[in-house]
Amino acid sequence: MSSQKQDLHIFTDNSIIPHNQVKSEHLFNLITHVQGTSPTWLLNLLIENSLYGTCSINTDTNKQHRSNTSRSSVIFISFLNDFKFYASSLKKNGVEVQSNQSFKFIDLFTNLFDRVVPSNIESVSKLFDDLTQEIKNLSQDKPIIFIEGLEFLLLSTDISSIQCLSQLNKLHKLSSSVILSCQSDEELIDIATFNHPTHPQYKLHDFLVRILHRTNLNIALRPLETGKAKDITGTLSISKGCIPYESLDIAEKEYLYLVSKDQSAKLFFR
Amino acid sequence: MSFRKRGEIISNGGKNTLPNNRIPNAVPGRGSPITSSIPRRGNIPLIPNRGQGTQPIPGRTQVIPNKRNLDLNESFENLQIKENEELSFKFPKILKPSSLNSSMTISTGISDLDKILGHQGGIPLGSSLLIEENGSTDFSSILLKAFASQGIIHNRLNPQQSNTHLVVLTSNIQWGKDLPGVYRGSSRQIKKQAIRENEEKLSIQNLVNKPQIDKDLRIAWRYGLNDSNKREIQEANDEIYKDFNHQFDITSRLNPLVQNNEISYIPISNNFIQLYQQIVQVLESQKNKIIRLIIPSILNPSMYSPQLTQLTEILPFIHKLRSLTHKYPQLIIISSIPLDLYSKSSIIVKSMESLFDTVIQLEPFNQQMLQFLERAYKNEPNKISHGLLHIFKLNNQSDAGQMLITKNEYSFKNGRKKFEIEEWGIPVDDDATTAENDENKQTTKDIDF
Amino acid sequence: MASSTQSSNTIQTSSFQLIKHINSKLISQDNINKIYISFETFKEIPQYINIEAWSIPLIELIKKIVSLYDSNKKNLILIDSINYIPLNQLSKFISDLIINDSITIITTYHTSLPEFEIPYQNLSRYNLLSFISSSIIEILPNDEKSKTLKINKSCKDYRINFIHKRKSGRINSFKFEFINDEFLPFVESIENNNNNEDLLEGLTTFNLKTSSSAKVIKDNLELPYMEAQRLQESSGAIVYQFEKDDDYDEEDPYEDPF
Repeated sequence: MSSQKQDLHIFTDNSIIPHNQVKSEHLFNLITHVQGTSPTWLLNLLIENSLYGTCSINTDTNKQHRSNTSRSSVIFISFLNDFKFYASSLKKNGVEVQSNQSFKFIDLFTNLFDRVVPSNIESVSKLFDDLTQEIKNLSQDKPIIFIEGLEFLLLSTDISSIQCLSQLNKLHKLSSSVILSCQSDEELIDIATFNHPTHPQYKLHDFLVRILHRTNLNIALRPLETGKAKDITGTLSISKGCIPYESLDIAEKEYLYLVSKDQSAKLFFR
Repeated sequence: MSFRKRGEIISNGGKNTLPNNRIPNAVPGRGSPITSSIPRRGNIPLIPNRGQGTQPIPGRTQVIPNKRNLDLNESFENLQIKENEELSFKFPKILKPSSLNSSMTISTGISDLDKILGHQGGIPLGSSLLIEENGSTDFSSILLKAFASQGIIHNRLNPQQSNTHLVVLTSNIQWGKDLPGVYRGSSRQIKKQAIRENEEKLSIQNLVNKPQIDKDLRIAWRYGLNDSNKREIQEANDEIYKDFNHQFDITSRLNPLVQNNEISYIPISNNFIQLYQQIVQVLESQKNKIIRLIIPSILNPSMYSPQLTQLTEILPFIHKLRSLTHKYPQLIIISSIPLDLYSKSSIIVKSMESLFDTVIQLEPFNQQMLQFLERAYKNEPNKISHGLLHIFKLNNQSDAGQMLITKNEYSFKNGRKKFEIEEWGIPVDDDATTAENDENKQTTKDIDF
Repeated sequence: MASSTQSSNTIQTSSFQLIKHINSKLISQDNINKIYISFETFKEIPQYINIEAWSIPLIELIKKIVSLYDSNKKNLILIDSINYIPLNQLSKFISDLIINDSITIITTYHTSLPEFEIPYQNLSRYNLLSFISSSIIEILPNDEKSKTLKINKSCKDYRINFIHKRKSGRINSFKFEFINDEFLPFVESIENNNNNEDLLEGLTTFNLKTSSSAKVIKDNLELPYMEAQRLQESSGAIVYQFEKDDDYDEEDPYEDPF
């Protein structure tokens, strides 16, 4: 464990996803990204780390070594992709999720609008009640819940940011930790000209700021300001949220990262 | 055993057995090998494999999938590959495996566009493409129409079995009437084509000649090794994928015109739910075909009522379409959106972009720029581009986390025979440079003095 | 004492530490009935009556809180964020809670949340809250250049403006700087700032202002002790000790030392 090695560390003790000691806290982590810096690779990494405590970035460890015993159970809820998308990309990291008891993918992408009527807030509420029930049935243990594309639900339905947050709370309560991935392009949160609560920009802005007030950890993926580069995809910055972790300290840092054509990622210190 | 004349064709692939009278416009000979290979399976002794695969040249088609098979010893991938093999069996000659992942790709009808999509093929099946366009020009419709024509040409490769169906979301049922026809080349090119075809036929002469050509071309032995391998693969690819894409001439028309059983028009109602149900109906009825779903100028107020431009209307619709591309892996969606009505920085465009797999933008040059180009390329008018092409998202790669936003790197040019996309470079204005040079000369002279 | 204390904060500077600090002072006091109303956090605070308010309609919430009051003790209501109460119900919410003098509300108002203008009432949440509350603690980042929604590094150095409205009608305000998790008094009082002249504008019948030309002359005037300062470069510390005439009450945190 040399500190010289270029590797992803979120906490000062060089860990990525905190383990048992923080199970009692309901942690809330936010990953924001913009067009061009899709967080799929990072989510894959965090899933792997949540399951096995390993991290196949910047290392070429033998990829079949994953033990069958996982540290904690993981539930992945996606509004934008289906299981196949993640199963195949996780596979590349050597994480088998198809028959994994600890990993559960909840697909809210494929038939989302069969379940949700955009003008009907009750239907959204029902969706989350069903989700809560589903998660309750799955595990006694408090899982780590990943949520991808919730902002999309906010934009495409009539629910307000506060309503969306209280739906999120339902899931949050069941989990040991929530990792929310959210797109935050400036166009989506521009409130300079769209400043009425019914404007979707206002809704998303309000939603994001409210979330920022309750997060423990923020990770931001942004492209380089200079645009596309061959050897760098963008920057990954890790910062503390408004609510500190009780037992751990976050190593605030900014990395450069590269996702190459074969979808493997590399990190560099800045 | 009998003697053969040197030029005699050993296997003509049945070219003459089934004259392709129904498609007079198609390039002669294209497509027919498949038609004939199926009934004649097993009768051709030259290629022993033939009995098993129904593909025209089984040994070759499988080269690429097999390689992948060995590399990735993983069940999930294998499953995908099996699916792909089935697909390429079902739709012979019109699919290419992606060089990036395990998906199969199909041509957009514009070979340069296929190139920039990065798969060394075309657009992956089961994906969507959004073309944004600034200004009042209508370059995007050329792309859409080439995309449609390509589908029709594919569909007519084998008269016995249609493989493609077009679905167009428009109230204009004349939309398919003016699809461009295949570019047949200048008369000189047609002649050359005939000679090349003759060479491609398997004759004794060609068999004798081929290795020699190879030897002659060997420049250095190191490169030569690679070269011959590459060439072989290249040749094999050319053969397998010769119907992958075609070139379209926008001044000509598809002949015969698009038939009613080749295209479905879905008129825009003021209800996206109804629209979606109609799409699903068509998809269900055409399940065994490749579906090219075309949405010209989405949200154009002349077709779409204002209430449909609400995010709560359009986003669920696009989201449903996105999920359709996953449910029906043979579906490709292409759509254009006018940026003059919905600005690039608006939330509606941005959020739609996040639901499309591939997003490109066409930004035509303004009058001033065009004049400048005309001046700069006085002597080479074919070098004048019509605008810039920006890439914002590319299928599979952007979603995986690669940053692929490239602005101002490509330019496009719409010609009679081709829609070209090339790397963009600002031309040097000759007048300006010569003036500068003169000045430079002047100064150096002064110094010399 | 019917009062409400409000702390406002931005994303970079959270009120979390401050609230935690207040809690640690309060926790030992048994004569206070403490109620914690959470809209955005799940962590229960020990020795508090915890209510998860996000799932309860507002009217029921008010009823519930009022039913929890202990008439024999002081009642403290801690609300993690007041931003979750709709603006049009905000004043009613607070006035419904403060039913008698024994109730104190401490709440956080996030200033970084977007606030839309109401066309006719023209009253923002912040104005309303500052009017109602008796003490306001503002937590602001020391460098205000990053006002946009950018999630980069969280801010370590921030300053605190403390405004306390006394019953006499006098307003005390203090500024603090918060460096490395410790409070440091920064500027004691806002009142002796440079705007004294402007404050007097219109109140006097004679001219108290210095004209710009007079100012230049005044600045250039070399006073005799300037020379003395130059001689002695090493600065001297001013040591101040309390004398018996200085009536300083350590028990009263709001005591104005001057």
